[in-house]
Amino acid sequence: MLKNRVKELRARNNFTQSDLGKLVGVTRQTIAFIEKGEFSPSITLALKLSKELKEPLEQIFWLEEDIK
Amino acid sequence: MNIRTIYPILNILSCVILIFLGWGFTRSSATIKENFLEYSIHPVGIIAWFVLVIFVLTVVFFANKHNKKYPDKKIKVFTINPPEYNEEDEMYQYATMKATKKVYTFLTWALPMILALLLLPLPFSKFSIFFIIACIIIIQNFIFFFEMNKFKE
Repeated sequence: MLKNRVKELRARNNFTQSDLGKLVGVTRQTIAFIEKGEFSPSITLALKLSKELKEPLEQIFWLEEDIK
Repeated sequence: MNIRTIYPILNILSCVILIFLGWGFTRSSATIKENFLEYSIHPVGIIAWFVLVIFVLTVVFFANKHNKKYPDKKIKVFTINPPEYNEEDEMYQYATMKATKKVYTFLTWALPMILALLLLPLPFSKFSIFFIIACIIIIQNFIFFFEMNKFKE
């Protein structure tokens, strides 16, 4: 299962879900579902999130069985 | 409320009206009297016809209202692609794909079963066939609605 730190990093950058959604071109609901781990973003969207959250991709997303 | 999310419910409502319309029209009769064709429609059919027209006009009104409110998320009522498709972003594209897949699975089973049912030596009236098809549309829209609702907060 894909895990992520989007919620934590979003809060660190003082973004609301809507702000982050607008920056990466998706709806607020999509950000909410990504944060809950209920939707796995595409590589394109993940890279956009990585850029806006200013963190390398592997520091934002990882597979549950991986050691972080 | 986003009209797109409730569109399958609107489809179901229109189908219910269509059932009454079908019931009324299949009980209508056409006779030739003194070289004139006399066509009598059952009152239920006439009422259902007016209700359907009012319903369609109401949907068009609310769709226009929605389009004014969300000019970037316009809904086209009369289009080949069903208006209930939500492809706002990649999650909704995924949701629509999942919902349409479930509907396809349902139709893959339901349609041959109905064909088999119609092969049975039973006295199927015109209305019963109409009713079965309407029920398929209703179930199809319920499946789509509940699947899309999983992606609603």
